[in-house]
Amino acid sequence: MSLRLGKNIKLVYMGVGIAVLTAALIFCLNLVVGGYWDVTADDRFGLDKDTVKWLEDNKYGVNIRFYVSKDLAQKDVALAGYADYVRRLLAEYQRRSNGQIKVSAVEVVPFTSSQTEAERAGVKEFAAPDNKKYVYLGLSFTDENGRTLAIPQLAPERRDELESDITRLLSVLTANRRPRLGILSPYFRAAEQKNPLRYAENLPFVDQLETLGYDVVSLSKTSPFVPEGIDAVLVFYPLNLEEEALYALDQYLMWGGKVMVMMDVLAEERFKEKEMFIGYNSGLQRLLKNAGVLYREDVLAGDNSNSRELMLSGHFIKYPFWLIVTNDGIAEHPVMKGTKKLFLNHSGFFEYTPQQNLRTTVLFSTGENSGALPAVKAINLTYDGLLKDYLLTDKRYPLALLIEGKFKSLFDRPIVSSAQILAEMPPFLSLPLKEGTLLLVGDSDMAAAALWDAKAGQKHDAFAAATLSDNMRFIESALDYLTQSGYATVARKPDEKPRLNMSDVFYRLAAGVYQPQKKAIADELAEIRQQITEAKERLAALALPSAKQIKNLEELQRTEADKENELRRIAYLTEERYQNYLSWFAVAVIGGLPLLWVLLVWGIYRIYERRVRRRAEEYVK
Amino acid sequence: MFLRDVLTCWGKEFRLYFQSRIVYLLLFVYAAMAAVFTLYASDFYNNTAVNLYQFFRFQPGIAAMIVPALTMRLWADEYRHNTLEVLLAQPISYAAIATGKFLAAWSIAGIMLVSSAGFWLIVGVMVPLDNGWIAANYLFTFLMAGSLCAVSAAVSAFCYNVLAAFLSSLAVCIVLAAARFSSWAEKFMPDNLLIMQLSKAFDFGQQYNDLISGQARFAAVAYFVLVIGAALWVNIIAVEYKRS
Repeated sequence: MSLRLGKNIKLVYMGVGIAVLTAALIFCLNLVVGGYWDVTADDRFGLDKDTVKWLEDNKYGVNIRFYVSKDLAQKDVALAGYADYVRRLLAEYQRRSNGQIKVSAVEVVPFTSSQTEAERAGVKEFAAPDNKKYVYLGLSFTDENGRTLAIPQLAPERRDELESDITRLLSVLTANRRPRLGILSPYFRAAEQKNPLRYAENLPFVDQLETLGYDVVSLSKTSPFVPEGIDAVLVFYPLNLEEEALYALDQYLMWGGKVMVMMDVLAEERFKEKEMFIGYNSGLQRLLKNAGVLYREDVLAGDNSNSRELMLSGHFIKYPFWLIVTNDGIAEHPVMKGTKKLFLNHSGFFEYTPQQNLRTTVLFSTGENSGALPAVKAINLTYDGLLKDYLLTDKRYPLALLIEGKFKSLFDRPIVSSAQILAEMPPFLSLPLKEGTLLLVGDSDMAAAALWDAKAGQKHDAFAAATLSDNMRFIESALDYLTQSGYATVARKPDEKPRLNMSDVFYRLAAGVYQPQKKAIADELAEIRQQITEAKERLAALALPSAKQIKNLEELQRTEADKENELRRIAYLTEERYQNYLSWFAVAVIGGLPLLWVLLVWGIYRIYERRVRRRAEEYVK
Repeated sequence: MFLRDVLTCWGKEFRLYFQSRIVYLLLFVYAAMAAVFTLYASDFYNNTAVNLYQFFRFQPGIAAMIVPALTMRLWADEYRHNTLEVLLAQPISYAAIATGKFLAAWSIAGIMLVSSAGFWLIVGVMVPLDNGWIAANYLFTFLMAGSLCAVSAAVSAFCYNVLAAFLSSLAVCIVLAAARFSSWAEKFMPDNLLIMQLSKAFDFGQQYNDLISGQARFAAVAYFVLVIGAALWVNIIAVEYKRS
């Protein structure tokens, strides 16, 4: 190659001119053109209309700092991909906010000022899911007054909730005041301990509510009034409520208060509590009856179609009392916004008769194929017991009710005589002053983390919870409705297709081959173990067991060991087959498919070539 | 008229690829390389992305190695067989010749890309994928391969033999596809806003990643189209220069 510049200077100028022009065009386009085409099936880069509306209405400036570990891609590729997604979503927030939201990224390097800054902002180091290397990936939100909120760690499992979390925190940060929620429950003993801001029991949903913008205070069971400044009361698992508490709730409703009650016939999460076994008594029946509602405190609602699976007496069945409430049973109401799937365990149900001045709405109920079972029979239930005692009634059982309007008072005069307390509490009302709201839920277990957080039991921050059901969303939405918090609630992104790896698929295929064999051995093993237990019990009962009996037990134990070995062998064979599948797949993809493609292209070209030759020959002839 | 000339030139070049047989080798090498990188250079089995990200992320690198082999003989063969003068003497514009040759190389790149569709199909049967996203990614990868074809063809137009054409276009393509200007700028000049903007605007890998991320920026599409246009123009100038 030789360039004779003197002779072709015009062409050289042209070449340089083209390069400069193209470069300028590319640069300008990158600066000016901000539009994009979202090619994903679930519109993952777009913002929900509620978020857009909130961003358009927002008049306060917020700085969002995005903290990402340096070289995240080298530490965890999947997490780096998620960080890229977060970055793009934040850019969309900035773009839509009319200049109110400013996003900046901070690369966190250990032992530098960036790490200190991240920690100060509330972002925490965490172990990457893939390789357990410690990384920073979090957000901080700072308003014009320097107030800061943070998402300490951005967990990829919460991808569907990301927009909802960001919008929520933005609205919490820019809100004029945080709603105050009073919780009345036997599990919140703090008020008696004279520390109203602390609660005794570890209930993750309360942590979640605090993170989502609520000031939570504990209410005393013995106080005859709800203190001033409480925006809503949550009565969580009421148990033998005192007359004072009943009076407090009654008067609170008369003054236009908002109350949410989560009752439970059989509180699975409270199994350790003896009260559950001897029958449930909320102490609220009079108040409910006054609103035309009956909560059956001794009967459970079941649903044959929408329920989760359970092993009962050796039978793997859809257990009717572990309810799944889906769209079919969920009403269209602002409270149920964004709620698509609820999990309830051993829920009670409501019966109601419409009352004058009160509007009653069923928020959610069981499906059409439902039934009922006395709660006492559900304890130590066997498969045969279920078949015998469970009554299919073909009717829907209301599991949550919303009652709004002017309530009647249960009382005709104040129950308090102490002048000092009377002076502290609001005056007695026998007729309602304002419309009150009572939201009733038939199950308290639904607030247990195990039913809404796929990572329940692990110690993690509220924003790292992985969505298992919409239970928490329902509680949040219900309290938002009751307190009129004004917080932005954004529906989470539609369910992504179930995450399935190639590795899972191959393993399932391999395991499927040995499944019948494995099941047969497992059944035999269960039977042998049962026999061993019985033999041991028999031997223990005898003062002097015979040699034959001991030999028999030893024989059973030998058989048990053999069966266990067989199971181990099957596990080994499964692993071996799985590895073989991976190898075959690799060979097929690396060698087979390219070869097939080459042959196909070669074949097509040969056919084409022959046709051309034939035409040429015809032409020559 | 122009289009007819382009098509004629394209047809001739396209047929030539198959007559030389090297295209079969390239097809096989490309498909095998893409599969090896996807399966072994990333955690594909345990982390199968719905958009087959593990497959697409390596495409610029693979294309940078394969495309020079496709374009090396576009002009060099004309010199070797002394047919350039004859070709340029035909009643057909230089632009049509350059475009036809480029389109022929791009078509072969397209056939290569389609060779991986079998992989998409097999994985799609086994795990749920976002097929619309993947189809779009194929389109963007085709566009990216086109820009490398155009650049590579322009470089090879300056060369007189096949080896020189291959080596020089390989060097240019690798620098273009692998050099992460934005990373360098972030490392060395993070405070210089203009340099940062410039480096991002011209970062080939960054632009490609922007396209396959699911949020395909119009500016990134324009980037590749402009690169193709500019390279074709340079290609025409190179031919004119040689002719003169």
